[in-house]
Amino acid sequence: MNPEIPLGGDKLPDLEAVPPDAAPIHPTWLHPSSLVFDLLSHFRQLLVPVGLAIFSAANGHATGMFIAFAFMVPAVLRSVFQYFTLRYMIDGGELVIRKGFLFRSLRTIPVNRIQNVDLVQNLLHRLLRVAEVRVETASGKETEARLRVLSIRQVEALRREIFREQEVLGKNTRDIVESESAPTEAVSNLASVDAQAGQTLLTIPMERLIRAGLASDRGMLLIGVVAGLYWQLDLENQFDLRGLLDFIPKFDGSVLNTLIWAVAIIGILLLLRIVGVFWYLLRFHGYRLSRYGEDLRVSCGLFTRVSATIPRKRIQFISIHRTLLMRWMGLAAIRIETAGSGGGQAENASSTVSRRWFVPVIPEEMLPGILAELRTELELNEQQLDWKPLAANALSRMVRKAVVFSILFGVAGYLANHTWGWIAGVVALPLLVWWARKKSKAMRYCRTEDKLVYRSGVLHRKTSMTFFDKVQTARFNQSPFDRRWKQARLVVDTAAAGPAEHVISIPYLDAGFADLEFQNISAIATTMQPDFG
Amino acid sequence: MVTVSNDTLNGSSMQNSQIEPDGERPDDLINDSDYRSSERTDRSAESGFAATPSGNPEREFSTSLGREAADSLPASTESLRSTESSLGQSAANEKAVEGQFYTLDLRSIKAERLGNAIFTCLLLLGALVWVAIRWWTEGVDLFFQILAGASLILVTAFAVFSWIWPKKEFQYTQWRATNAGLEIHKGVIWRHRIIVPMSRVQHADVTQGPIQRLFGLGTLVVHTAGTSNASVDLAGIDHQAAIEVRDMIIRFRSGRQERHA
Repeated sequence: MNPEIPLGGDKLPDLEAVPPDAAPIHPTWLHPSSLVFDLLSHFRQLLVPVGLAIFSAANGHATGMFIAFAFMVPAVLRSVFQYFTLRYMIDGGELVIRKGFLFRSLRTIPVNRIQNVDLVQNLLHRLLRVAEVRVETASGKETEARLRVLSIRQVEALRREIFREQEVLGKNTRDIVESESAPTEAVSNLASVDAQAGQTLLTIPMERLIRAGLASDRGMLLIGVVAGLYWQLDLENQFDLRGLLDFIPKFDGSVLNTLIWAVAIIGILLLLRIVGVFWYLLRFHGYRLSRYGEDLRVSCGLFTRVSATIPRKRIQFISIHRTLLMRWMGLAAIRIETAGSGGGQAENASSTVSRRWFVPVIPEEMLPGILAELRTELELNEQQLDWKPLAANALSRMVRKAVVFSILFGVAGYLANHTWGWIAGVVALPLLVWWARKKSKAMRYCRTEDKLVYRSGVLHRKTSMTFFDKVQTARFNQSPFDRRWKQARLVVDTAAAGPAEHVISIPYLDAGFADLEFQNISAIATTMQPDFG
Repeated sequence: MVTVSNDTLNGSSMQNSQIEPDGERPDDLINDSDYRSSERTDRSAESGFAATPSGNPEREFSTSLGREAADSLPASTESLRSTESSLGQSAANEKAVEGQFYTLDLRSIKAERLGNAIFTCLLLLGALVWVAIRWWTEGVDLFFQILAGASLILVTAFAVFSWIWPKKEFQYTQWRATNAGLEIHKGVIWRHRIIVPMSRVQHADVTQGPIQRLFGLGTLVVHTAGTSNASVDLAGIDHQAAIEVRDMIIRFRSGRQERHA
């Protein structure tokens, strides 16, 4: 333990800064504080019994207490039991986890199958200098193994063993951490750093996080939370909302009231943006993306620190997102996908950060540098790509769709209000046509020697790519409409699980071109040896 | 009798024939005599698996399918090929067609129809029970007549549909297994083509339901590491053929691994 690290701020013990233990080649226990964390994780289930116990004790009834203890004691015993029976070790290239006494379970995970090792540290973890470890493989959506909790030294030893980075860690790492404040926040150049050592690729200064927060719609979450609370706590019946409504000035056109309204609306919008900023600061404070040989490591978080290690070759899918505001500010975000875990319900804090928010914000000019680090020889100059357009009649089809929709809007409006309702259709028409034009312009597909690139989106632009050695299946789909327009949709499936929220599924392609590409993609994919890990 | 060889599949012959997808199908070819020939094995070894890695197609994709069966391949297969090419005209000449497409087994139509018939009977039984109960409890009124009429029409419509649909499915389904992978075209209204490259197959199974067993059919299921198409299945091919394709895929994988080792 390192006593000189004070508690507080970002000087809390950082995962990277601690020399590792010896490799866990003998069966090793979890950190003793596991007992506490395991109990805490069951806290929710214990809440009722504990409450009952306190209540009974307060009322002087012993029976209630006994019943409560009947629930609590097994939980405590289970945690103790689990702690004392769980051992892990690295043996013969496998992570071995044994647990149980009567019913024993032995889980062996070949180290070369491990997709990534994620760490989560909340404040309590950080005070005790421990971390929760999640080991992910490509299988399914579940975390393969969860070690709650290991000391930082144990974590380092495990990580080092798993990713075979013996030379990287230790003193080298410490040096890099300490020199982090140096002005090399841009893409560091390969030559200057020992190729074996971890090199910091990217850090995000506070100012940029604030800009990203302002550009993001994260604040909208606040509305959701407020609405949720409103319904959950049944506030409707607890407050006299009528009285509140009376307090709101009527929108009657008087100067004062209009002014109040304007200020209120601006205030709310500003508040939402500020919430976004706070969210970004909380989540990504001290963000650092670094590279250790063939592994990438992301760590960030103000209170709960998350650290994830992702082998480069495990990256299935890279997606660049740019919202309208981000584009105005010259910013972009990078999301990546690895096989297996992540996506949907199973997504946990660490995989969310390390995949969905892989690089939460990056200035446009630094983008190519970072992309080049994600995959060998990955070059992406979006302007210079040989983008293939949609079918020649794609725009006509989209415009026709827009016309049909505006007619529907008009009819619906007319049914709602016979005098003025039809105007909805008239207003919708130019907007939808404009949208269709923009959409058809934004949607492009490109196949290069090693990858497939697809971009789409009018306001929220997404450019995604996958690589031929990651392509699992190719698909050519034709709906009856597609057949009428001699178009088709081209779909490429990868093992990626979906946090990038963009799949390579290109509609409105010329049927002949789509069929040719369909054949080509599968032909090229066949020649590439896949990396099942 | 039509002999299908690689030549008929190559671009030259494909481009010239432009039959609209919904155009005339030689329906008369799909007749009872075809169903009865339980030895029918139109997935013959002629060319489909010529490109198996270890090189000897005749040996690789062997025996149980019978070589002479190529002669009994229905002409509809050929017309299917032509139909398909009308879609991707521009691509047809550039595309290297290396393996032959197969239709489903003709028996699959009958098997599907049997399954659908059983389902229709259950549906009819349900409708009858409902009508009887309703009659018993409420007697005959206008509402009853309308509902009874509607359910009768629905059951009839379903029966007709379940008779026609299997043949439609048969007409629009074709597949091939080459060294590039397993390619399946299917879908009557929404058409899909999918290719699973051989090297992406994680494992392959053959399953057989009770009705399929009755007709000697099977389903080939190919699993990949993908997400939206994690498993691709091909139902209604000859059981033996399904097993051979599965074995071929397994051979391909093990052969590949040896080479990489």
